[in-house]
Amino acid sequence: MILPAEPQKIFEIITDYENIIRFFPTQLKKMQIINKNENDTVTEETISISSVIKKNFTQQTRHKILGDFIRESLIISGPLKGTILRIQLQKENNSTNISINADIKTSLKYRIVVPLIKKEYKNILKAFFYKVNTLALQ
Amino acid sequence: MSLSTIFNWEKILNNSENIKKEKPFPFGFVKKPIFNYFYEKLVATYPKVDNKWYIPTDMSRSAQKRLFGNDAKKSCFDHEDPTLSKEWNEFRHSLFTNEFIGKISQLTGVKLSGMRHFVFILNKKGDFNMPHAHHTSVTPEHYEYKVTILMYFAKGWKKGDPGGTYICENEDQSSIIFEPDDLDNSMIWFTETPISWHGSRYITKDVIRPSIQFTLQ
Repeated sequence: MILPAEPQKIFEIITDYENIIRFFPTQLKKMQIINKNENDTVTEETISISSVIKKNFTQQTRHKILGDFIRESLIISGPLKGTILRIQLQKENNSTNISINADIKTSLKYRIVVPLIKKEYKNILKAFFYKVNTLALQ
Repeated sequence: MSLSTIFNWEKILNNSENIKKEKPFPFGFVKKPIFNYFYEKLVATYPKVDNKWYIPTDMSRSAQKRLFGNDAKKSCFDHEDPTLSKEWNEFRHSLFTNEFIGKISQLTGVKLSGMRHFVFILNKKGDFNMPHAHHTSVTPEHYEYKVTILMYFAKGWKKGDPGGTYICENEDQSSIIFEPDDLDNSMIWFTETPISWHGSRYITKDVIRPSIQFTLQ
C-alpha cells in the first residue's frame, strides 16, 4: 500500500511500541516493553478479540530493526507463537510504499481458522497503517 | 411537515438514474431523495461537532458519530432532540411513520416493521471503514435488522473522491463493485445478508462527509 506520510515518521510511530495501544484501544488491552537491548525489543501484549474467535490472550513478541525502515516482529509465546510479521517502508516520490509480509502460525487448536485469521489480519493491518498515516501527517 | 414534502418518492422509487441490483446482494443508490429546499435546511443545521460526538474504537474504522437525543447505540425510538433543529426533528420523526416504512419496504422488496437504529456519521480526512458485513455468521431469523440505509449531506462533493459507502464482493477492498460518486443529497441502501460487504475508502483530501446511517427491522 502507498500512503502519503514520510517513511521516517511512519517508522517512528510503528516502533513506539507502548503507544501502539492507542490504535486498538478495544482489542489491545495492554502492551508493555519487558526487555530492550541494542538489537531487539521484547513486548508483552494482552489481546481481546471477538471476531474470528472470541478470546483474551497474552503473548510476547520480539521486534528487531533489520535496516532502514525494516521491522520484523516474531511472536514468541501465545496462540500465534511462531508468527512473523515483516514490515518494510520505502520512500516513493512524496509517499511511502509499505510492504507487509505475514507468516502466520497458530497452535493446532486454532489451525482451522487460519484462513479467516489471514483475511482479518490483512484488513487490520491496513486499518492500522491508515491510522498511523493520519497521525504522521498531523 | 409531511413525509411527501421531505422525501421525493418519485425520485426514490421511479427515477431511471437510480441504481438497483440484486447481486451479489440487493442494493441500490438514489440521487436527490430529499426535496432540495428541505435538504438545504438539513445541511445548514447538520449537528456541529461537540461533546455529544464520539469516536468509535473499532480497529477497522475511523469516523466520528453522534446519536440522536436519548437513543442507544443499537436502538432508537421516536422522540425529540431539543439540541437539534426543527428540520432534523421533523426528518427523524418521519422515519418512524408507517408511510416511510412502507415505502422503504417497497423500494427494497423487504417487508419491514420499523426503525432499529440511527446515527449521525461525520467522516473527514483520515477516516475510512474497512470492508465488513454486519451479519456474517448469523442466521436470518436472528438478524438485528433487515435493511441498512446511508444518506449523504456533503455539499459540493467532488465526483470520484473516496468516502462514499461502497459495495464489494468480499472482505477485500479490491472487490468493490459499486461506489457512490455523488454524496450531495443521495442515499445508498442494501439488504442484510451474510455477504453484504461494504465499507468506505480512506479519505486523503481535506473534505468532510456529513451523513446519517439508519437500519430497519
